[in-house]
Amino acid sequence: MPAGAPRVGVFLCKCGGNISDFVDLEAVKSAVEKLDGVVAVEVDEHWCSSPAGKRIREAIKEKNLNRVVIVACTLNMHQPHFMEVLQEAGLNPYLLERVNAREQCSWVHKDSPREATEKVIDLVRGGVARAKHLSELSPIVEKLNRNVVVVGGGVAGIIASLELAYGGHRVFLVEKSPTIGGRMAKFSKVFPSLDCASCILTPRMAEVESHKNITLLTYSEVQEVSGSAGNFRVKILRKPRYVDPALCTGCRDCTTVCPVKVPNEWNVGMDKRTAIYIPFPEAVPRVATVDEASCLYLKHSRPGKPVCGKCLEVCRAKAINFDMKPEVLEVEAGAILIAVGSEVFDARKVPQLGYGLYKNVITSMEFERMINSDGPTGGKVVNPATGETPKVVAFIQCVGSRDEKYNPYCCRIGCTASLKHASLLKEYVSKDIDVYICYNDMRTVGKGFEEFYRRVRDMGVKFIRGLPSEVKQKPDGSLTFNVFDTTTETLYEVNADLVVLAIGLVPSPDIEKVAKLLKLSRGHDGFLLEAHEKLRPVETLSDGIFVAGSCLGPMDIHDATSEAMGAASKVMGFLAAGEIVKEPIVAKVNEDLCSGCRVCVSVCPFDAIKMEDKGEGKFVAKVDEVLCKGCGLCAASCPTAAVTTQHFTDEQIRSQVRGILVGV
Amino acid sequence: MKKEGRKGLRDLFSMQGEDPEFLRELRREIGEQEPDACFQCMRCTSGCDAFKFQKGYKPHQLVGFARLGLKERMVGSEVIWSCTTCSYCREVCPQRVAPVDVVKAARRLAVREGRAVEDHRKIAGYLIRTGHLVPVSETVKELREKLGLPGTPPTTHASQKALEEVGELLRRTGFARLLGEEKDG
Repeated sequence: MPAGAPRVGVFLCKCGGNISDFVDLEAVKSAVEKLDGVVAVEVDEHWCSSPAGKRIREAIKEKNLNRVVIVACTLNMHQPHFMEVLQEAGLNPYLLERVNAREQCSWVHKDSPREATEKVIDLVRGGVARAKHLSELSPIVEKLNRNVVVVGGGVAGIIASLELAYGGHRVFLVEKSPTIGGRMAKFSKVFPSLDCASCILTPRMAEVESHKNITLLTYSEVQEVSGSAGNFRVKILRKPRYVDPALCTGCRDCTTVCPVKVPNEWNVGMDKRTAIYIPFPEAVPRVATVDEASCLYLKHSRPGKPVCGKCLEVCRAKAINFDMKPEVLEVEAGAILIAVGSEVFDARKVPQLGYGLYKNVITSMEFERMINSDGPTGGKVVNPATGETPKVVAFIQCVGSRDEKYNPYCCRIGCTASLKHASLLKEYVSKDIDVYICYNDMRTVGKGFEEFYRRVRDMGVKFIRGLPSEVKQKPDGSLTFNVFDTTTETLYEVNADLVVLAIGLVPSPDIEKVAKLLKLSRGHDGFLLEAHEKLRPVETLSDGIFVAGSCLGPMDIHDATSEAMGAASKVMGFLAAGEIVKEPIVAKVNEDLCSGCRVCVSVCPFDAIKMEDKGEGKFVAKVDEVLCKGCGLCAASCPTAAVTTQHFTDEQIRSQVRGILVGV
Repeated sequence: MKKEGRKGLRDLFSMQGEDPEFLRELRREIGEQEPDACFQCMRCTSGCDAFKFQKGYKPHQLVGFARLGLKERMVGSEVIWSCTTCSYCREVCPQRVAPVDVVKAARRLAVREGRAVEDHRKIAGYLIRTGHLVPVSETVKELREKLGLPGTPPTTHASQKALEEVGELLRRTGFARLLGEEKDG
C-alpha cells in the first residue's frame, strides 16, 4: 500500500450523454465529495479521450492523489489505457478502481433516472471504499518458449509451418492422417487461373518434409495441452502405423498383395484401397500405413496363429512391424497454431436431390476426383451408372448452403468451383457437351473471379437463375428436374445424364475436439471463433493460441493461405518479445496459515496449485503464477484463509460491500 | 422431334426444347456481339421505353431465350415487334451485349418464315404502295397548303417514276415477297 493516508480522486464520465442523459452527475458529484478520503471529483464528456487523460494526470499531480476511481463504462473497455494514464503520472496502475455507471446503471435503468442516480452513488461509495485498500502490484514476467505446435497439415498448416520454420522457429506439425496435403491435394485444377493443384502444392509438401526446423508428426493427434501462453506443454498421440517410416521405401509392393478392399478416402469413396496403403503417390511422408480397423492380421491373429501377413512376406525392407504400440510425445511450445480445416457437406442430408439414391447424382468433390488424372477414372468424366461420357451435365448450386435447415451460411466456394468444373468439361471433355448451372446468386468475389465467370459464359455454359426442388430419375436411368428461371420467367425441364451437387464446407469433428481441448469458443455455425472478425482474424481469445484456414469458416485456398501467413506472422510477433507479461491478479499463499489440506488443489480448474514439501511432514500449497488465472476459487474455499487473490483480497471486497451498503 | 426437344433443356410453357439449328442461324444474324456474355443484370429492361409502354417486352428475357436457343419464345412471340430499335439497351449493357441486335435478328428470322405481325406488314404495304412508311395524309396535305406549300411533297408521292423505282428495289431485294400484301390471306 502506498505511504500516507489515501487521497482518492473520482472522475465521473458523461460518456457523450450515454450516462449523463439518465444519471444526474451533479448529484453524484455532491454526494461523493462528502466521502472520507475523497479529495477531488471531476466531470468530463469522455474520460477515455487523450486530453481527458492528460487532465487525470494533472489532477494526480495537483491534488497529490494516490488512488483513482473512474466512474464510466465497463471494465472491459479502456482498462489498459487508464492503467497507462496512472503509470505515466507515476502512480502504480493497480491503484485504479472502475465503477460501471453505464452498462450497470444508465443503460439498464433508462426509465427510472432517479434510482439510476442513487445506484451510481451507492456503487461509487463501494468503489471509493475498495480503492482505499488497493495495493501496488507488479506484473508477472515469464520467459517464453520459441517452439510452435501447428495442428493440421492441410494447405493452411503447411504454409504456416513453412513460414515459421523459415522464421527460425522449431515447428511441430501434427496431422491426424497418414499424409499432409489436406483437401487441396485432391484437387485437379484450382480456380480462377486453372493451374494444376498438385504442381503448386507438392513442392511445398516436400519442403515441409525436408526442412530442418520442422518435425513432421503425421498419423498423430494432440491429446492434451497444459501450461499457458508462452509455455505450453503439448502431449501428442502417435498412432501406430505398423510400418517403420525409417525403413519403408514407399515401393508399394505390400499394397499389391493385401487382400483387403475398403472405401478409399483419397478418392472420396469412389474406389477401394487396401488395408496397408500409401494414400497417393506424392504423399508426405511416402510411407505405408496399416489401417488397423480393416487389417486381417491385426483383427484376427491370435498368439501363435497369425492370420494373413502377406505384406510381411513381400516387404523387402522389413519395414512392417505389427507389434508397434501407440506412443505419446510431449513437446514444449510458446504458441499453438490451429489449422484443422473443415469437411464437405453430406449431400445425403438433402435426399430430394437424389444423392445416394441415384448413381449419376454426384457431389462436386466426387467430380473433382473424377476429372483428376490420378483419380478413380484416370481423369475421365463418366456417368457412374453407365460408365459412358455424359452428354448433358447439370450443376445444382447451394446444396446444403444458405439453408436454414442445414447451413445458413454461404459456402463461398461453390459458385467458382462449379464454374471451374463447367469450364473443365467444355475444355477437356468436349465443347459440345451441354452444361447447365442452376444457381441462386452467382458469387464470384475473389481476384480474377469475375473475369473467369465471363470466360465460362463465353464457352457457352448455360446459366439458369433458380434452384430445382427435386431431382428424379427416368426409367432410362437419366435424370430430370424442373427449375424456374427468374430471368426469363419460365419453367424449364432439364434432362441430364449427370447431376453435380455443389456442396459446401461444414465444421469437422476435429473442430469440436480442439475447441474442447484448448477451451476455444465456437460460433453458432460450429466453426472456431476468431478474437475479432475484422481486426484480429487469426487470433483466438486465448493468449498464445492462433488460428488459420477453414476451421474458421468456409474459405478458398487463397484465403486459407493468406490467413496461414497472417497467423504465422502473429505467432512470430508474439514470440519475438521473448517474454510474456501477465497481470499479477493471482492467488498468494500464506505458508504460516496453510494447513496442507489440499482443498485448493482439488478446486483449481487450471492445475495451478501443487503441494510443496517443507520437510518434517509439512506440506504447503504453492501457486504457479503463470498458470493461475486469478479466479479466486482457492481463496474462497481455503478453510484457514491462507490463500488470498491479489487485487481481490477479502479486505478489499468487504470494504467495497460495506461502502455500497452504508445507510441500508 | 421439336416437341420432345432434344436431351437437355425444355421450356415447359411452350413445350419447346432447345433448337441448335435456330441457335446457329441466330448467331449468324446477330453478328459480332455475344449474347452468352449476358449475366442478366436487367439494366436493359430497367431503361427500356418499349417495356414501359408494352409490359411484355423485356430485352433481358429475349437475350436469355437467345442463349438457350428457344426459337418459339422469340420468333413465335409478338413481343419482339414492340422494340423501337432505339439502341438504349446497347448503351447500358455492362457486358457489351446489344439486346436490340438480338431482337432485330429474331425479327429477320421471323420475316423469312412469313411470321411478321400484321401491323408490321401493314406498314410494309405503305412502303410498297407509296414509297413511304408514313404516307402524307389528307390532314397533312391541308396543313401544307395552309403554309403555302404544295399539298403533295416532291417525293415518291409526286413522281410515278420514283415510285416505280422504289417498287423495283423492293422486289429485287425480296422485301416485297417477304412482306408484301400478296402474302396476306
